[in-house]
Amino acid sequence: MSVESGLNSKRNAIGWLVMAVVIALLGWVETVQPMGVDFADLTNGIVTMDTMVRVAILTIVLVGLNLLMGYAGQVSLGHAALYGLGAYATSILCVRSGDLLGVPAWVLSSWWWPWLVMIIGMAFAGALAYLVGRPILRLQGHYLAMATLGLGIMIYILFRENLGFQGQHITGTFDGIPGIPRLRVGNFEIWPISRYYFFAWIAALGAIAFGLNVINSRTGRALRAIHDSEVAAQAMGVDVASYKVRIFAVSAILASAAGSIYAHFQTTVSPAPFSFVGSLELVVMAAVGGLSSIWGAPFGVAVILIIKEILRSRLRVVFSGASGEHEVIFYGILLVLIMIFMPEGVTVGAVRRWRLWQRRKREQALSPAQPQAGVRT
Amino acid sequence: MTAKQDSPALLSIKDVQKVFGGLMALNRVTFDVRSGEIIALIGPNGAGKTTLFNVITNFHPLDGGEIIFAGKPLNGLRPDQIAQQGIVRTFQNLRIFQNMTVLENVMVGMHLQGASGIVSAALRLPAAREEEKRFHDIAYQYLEMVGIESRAHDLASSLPFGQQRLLEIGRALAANPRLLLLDEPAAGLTRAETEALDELICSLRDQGLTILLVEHDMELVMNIADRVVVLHYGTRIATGTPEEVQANPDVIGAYLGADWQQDKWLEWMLEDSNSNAEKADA
Repeated sequence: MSVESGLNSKRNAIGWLVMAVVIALLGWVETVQPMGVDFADLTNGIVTMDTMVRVAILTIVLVGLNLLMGYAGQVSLGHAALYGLGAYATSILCVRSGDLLGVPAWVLSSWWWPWLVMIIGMAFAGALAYLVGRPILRLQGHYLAMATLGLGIMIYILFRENLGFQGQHITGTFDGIPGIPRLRVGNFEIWPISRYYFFAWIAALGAIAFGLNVINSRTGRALRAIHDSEVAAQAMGVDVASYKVRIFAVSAILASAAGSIYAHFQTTVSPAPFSFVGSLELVVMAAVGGLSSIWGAPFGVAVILIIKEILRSRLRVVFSGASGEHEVIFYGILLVLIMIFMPEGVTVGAVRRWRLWQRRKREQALSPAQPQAGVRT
Repeated sequence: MTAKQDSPALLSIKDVQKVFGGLMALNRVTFDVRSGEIIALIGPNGAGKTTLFNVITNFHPLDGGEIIFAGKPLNGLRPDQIAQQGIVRTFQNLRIFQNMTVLENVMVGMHLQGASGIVSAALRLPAAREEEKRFHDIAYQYLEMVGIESRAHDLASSLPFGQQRLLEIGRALAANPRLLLLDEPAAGLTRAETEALDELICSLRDQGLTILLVEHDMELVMNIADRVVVLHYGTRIATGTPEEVQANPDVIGAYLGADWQQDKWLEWMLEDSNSNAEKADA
């Protein structure tokens, strides 16, 4: 009678196996290039290794957003900015902290400095989320969505407007901050991309494990209880506001970690991905993946990013003059359709529909021969 | 019964007032709940019974008066802090956690007895795993107590109505209350289920739990209650043993208008609760 037994853990084991095999297989194609086939050749150049790394990175953000939206029932419309906090923390502290803060050169060039910076960024994002969330989450309703909308726009403008400090530039303009070093462990550089691919996916799987452990714990049960009935959760002694704040802070910490990993991947950080459209994109990904499904996270990210790549390469052919902004229309339509037809998310919705269809088929096959009896067993 | 009358008040409700707009939902209600007794709160629909529950657990703030639990005033505490003090309630229109298993529902009830947080859970530290195991085993015992342990791993929403009620009671018991508030526990139950509930409540009292219940099923009330408090339009009109309350002309008047006769009243009430039970059976 242990907690690990039962259906859930079986499903999780299958999930781990499938993920590990797919990741290893794709990574193997890229590294070994069997018969001269490159990973990008598999999809005729539309889905590249680059896309797969970004799926892994955004999966980390999505796990946090999923815990917040699907389990605590709160929407964040500024998560891209929290993701950006990590990216900018990494870029500023790894590139400019020598001039700005007088961090000595031997520290800046050490292999552990970027890792330390990543943790500083996570702590900062978590603390900011806690400070913003604490007063807001005491109120009932969707005030967090509005507050994070404002917070996200403010942070984005700070990134964009080239903040000055004692004559030094901190954030850079639209061009952002170039020259971010690659991550290293000792002398082992996590690059070329095939190495970074494995690193990013290990981090993503770590985030998934984190999320699964949280939802199957005392904390996770409290969050799910809040989602089902806030009143009943309170009557059982769950401090609703405190749990919402904590999970918001945790989701900000995950987003910031992903941002740092993104910064070391791109080596240049510019403000564009951290705008409101970025936050909207994350919400759409969460809706596609299934709001209360941790396993849905990588799926939601992959679907949206791949559709985006296809649109990018094909949209101009269909609609002449279409620019990147047209994606927003697509997100809007997609979100409306999902909310109408599969409000539980595309993954969860599809699984449920598949089961229903299977059951109906079975019942149809049985019913003419032996009406009703034993159909369910 | 006499021994109980000497025992100190666990919960004192003093001059409690609650106003909704122009409506006086509770008008200077005063009564005590003594340790180890079962008190039934009865009254016609809209008398303020559930409002009183909401005020005790502070889902609605008081507009006047005072509520004292175990010597300490409850004013200003949040509902979850009230639960921490040892007052746990069930809900008239069920509020089980639909998307969780039956066992998980009870484990939420045990929330206050745990200490593990996000970090220890996420990293599966030994202390968190130990606590999880303990929760699991104890939750199972509570399910056995209310008799639905065979459904432990089913989704709570898949239980039939009567078992959902039992689950709510099991979940409340898991919070280890000193005072249990039951809001119409027998509503919608079959006669057999009500009898089982009757036994369960009495066995809880025998284990020393203090119970305040709102109930329409008069047979259940008369069977198990040590004392009955009658509310009418937000005012307490009678307090006493079931026999005293049944004979009280104000109570009879409140239910049926003043010209009704006592024996007819009782007959009518019993018939009413029987027919309700029959409806539920069907």
